[in-house]
Amino acid sequence: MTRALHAEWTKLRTVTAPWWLLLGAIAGVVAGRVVAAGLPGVDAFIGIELGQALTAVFGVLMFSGEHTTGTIRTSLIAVPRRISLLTAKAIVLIAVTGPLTVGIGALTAGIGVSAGVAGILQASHLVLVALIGLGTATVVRDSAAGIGVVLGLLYLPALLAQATGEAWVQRFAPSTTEPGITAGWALAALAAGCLAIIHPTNTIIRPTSPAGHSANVIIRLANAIIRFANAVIRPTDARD
Amino acid sequence: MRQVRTEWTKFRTVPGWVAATIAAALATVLVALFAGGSGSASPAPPVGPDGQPVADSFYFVRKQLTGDGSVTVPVTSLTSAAHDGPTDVPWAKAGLIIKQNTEPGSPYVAIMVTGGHGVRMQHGFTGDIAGPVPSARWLRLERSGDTVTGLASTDGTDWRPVGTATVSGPTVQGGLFVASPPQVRGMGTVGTVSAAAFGGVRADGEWDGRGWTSEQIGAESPTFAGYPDGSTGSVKGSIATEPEPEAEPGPRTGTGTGTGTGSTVVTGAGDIAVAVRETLATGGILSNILTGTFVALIILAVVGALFVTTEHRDGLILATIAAEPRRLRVLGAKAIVLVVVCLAVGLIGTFLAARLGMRLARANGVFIIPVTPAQELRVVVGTAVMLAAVAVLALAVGTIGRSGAGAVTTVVVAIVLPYLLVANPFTPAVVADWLARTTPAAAFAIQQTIAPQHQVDSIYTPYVGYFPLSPWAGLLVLVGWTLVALAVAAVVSHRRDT
Repeated sequence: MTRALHAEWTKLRTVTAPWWLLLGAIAGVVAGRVVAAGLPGVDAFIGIELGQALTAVFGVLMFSGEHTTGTIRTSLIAVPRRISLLTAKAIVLIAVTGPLTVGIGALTAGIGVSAGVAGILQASHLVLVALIGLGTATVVRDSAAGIGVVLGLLYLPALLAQATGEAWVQRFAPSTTEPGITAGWALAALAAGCLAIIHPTNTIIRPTSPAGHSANVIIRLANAIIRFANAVIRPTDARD
Repeated sequence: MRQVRTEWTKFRTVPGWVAATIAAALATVLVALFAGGSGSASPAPPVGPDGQPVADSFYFVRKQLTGDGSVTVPVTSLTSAAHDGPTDVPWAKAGLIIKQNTEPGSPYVAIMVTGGHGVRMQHGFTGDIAGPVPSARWLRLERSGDTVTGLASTDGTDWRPVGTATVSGPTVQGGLFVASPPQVRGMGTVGTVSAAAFGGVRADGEWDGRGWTSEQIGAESPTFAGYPDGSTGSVKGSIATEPEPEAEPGPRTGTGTGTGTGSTVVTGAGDIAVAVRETLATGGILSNILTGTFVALIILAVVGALFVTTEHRDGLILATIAAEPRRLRVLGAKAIVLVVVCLAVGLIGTFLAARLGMRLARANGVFIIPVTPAQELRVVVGTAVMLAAVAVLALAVGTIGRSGAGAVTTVVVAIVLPYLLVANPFTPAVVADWLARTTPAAAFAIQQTIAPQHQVDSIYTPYVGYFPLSPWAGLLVLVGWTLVALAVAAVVSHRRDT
């Protein structure tokens, strides 16, 4: 496991794109905090709303990037236990994004409306969103489709809640302001990722025809949407 | 043409892409059904002559008019107040009105003094004519047959016509009225109340011989904000009837004491105009039902990006370019295929979503602001064009960056994030306005089915459904972004090998 962790850390460390994404996310959060401090009435969460898209993409690319380049084959030869691979990725992801976001939360505590523990809890949202991205990418195995699904998950419930006036849609969505519910989504996404990665039909090596592969991707995308729909519908039943 | 055929073959033989485009249409419809099925029943607002929801609440001091006749009155003062004291309400109204009946929404003609817009004649909830002399304080309505003429005068002798309109019916109600629309404060509105002092009223013609009756019209209407705490509609002082004939000798001053033999103070609240989003807080608009457009948009952006980036990733692009070395033709053919597919999906999905969603909402008792067939056609066609433009934008960005991940992130963030900021009540109005004019999210103006009313002061921000650009201009902003991206993609793909 230590070696798997070390491998994941090396893979992440030696690629520039993820670091730009994280930098952008931090800039978004800090900008949101500054704006919130300057304009009364502006929700401090607006910074998180800006930053979450980039950390979600960060999470997606952490897995789907390997599929794009084919590194996944090498990775699985080195770490044949697929769950271990996913776990290592999740741990590295938390280890990288966790201190960063908690750091922002602590540093900007003085700037924004939300201070101290509340600010750190808000920032922890970014870690959870990145985990949702990782889980989704494990299922979808394609960068573009994975990003589409995750950004949809993050932004659509807010729009839907606003259009219909049904506040629970937003409350139980991944982009909720309650870290507990986002954590639930992150766990669900990782669980789905675990199931997908050990599933016998999971052909880790990409089919050579783009058609076949894309069909796979879209069918998985459709599955993910159905899962999302299920998850959205279920809370009503519980509440009614 | 052959290249278009090639690209079409590539598109239709990927089951996933076909499934995704169908899913995009389906998602639009499903979200519309969800939006239509949710939401609690809301009381229907009064409806005006053209079927549009209206605000029609005011304090009315009236008599019945059974034929031809006229009514004349000077308005000596008009003051307004909110719950926290006196305030200026530019569209506070006091004057004369002839209305078909006392039902909210029935046709009317009114001539009035306003808080800040001078003398106006208004009729049919949309008609608004400025008087020739804004400072006139003498008002008259003359009815002959179904035609009502409004006149205004500064001195009570020199009358100038303002306009004419019709109120049909054997008997109509006429008399004094006072209305006081809500005042915009920050992100909301507060109710106001206005009091007007009238001089002597002269009613000539076939008026009912009995005295004046007074009442609040539209007191229970959902488009009426009510009176501020501690105030209520009233008429104080007897209604002085001026018996003299019209050619009364001696000059009259426009305002002040020389305006008649008595003074009546009428206090009222409400407004007479087409309802705006703020006065129609309950109920929905078509764009709410079409929220699923966002789902379709993200799916089609993914398909548009993958349409080119999978070729780069899998090396198929080499075969494509070997078969058709002119890069622009390849790009153009892909764009044409995407446009045709997205238009088809968008037209079917949006049409079904709009129809089914509105029907379901109405069946649920939710009031949906009616749309004309022309508006519905514009929304359906425009939304389809928007989806096609977004897919081609993703194609262009994918061609430039050759990365599906980058293209999808760019396009979704470029269109969804500005929309979220625009649709956020906390975003400063200047920022929201700028975003709604310049970013690809401006295209959502195409789904707007409510129009700002110049004679109603209200909140006209994108958050409540009013975009700064006209529908087609907003769509053109997105199309512009798409064309710029396509041009860059053309140049880039022309210059490099793949």
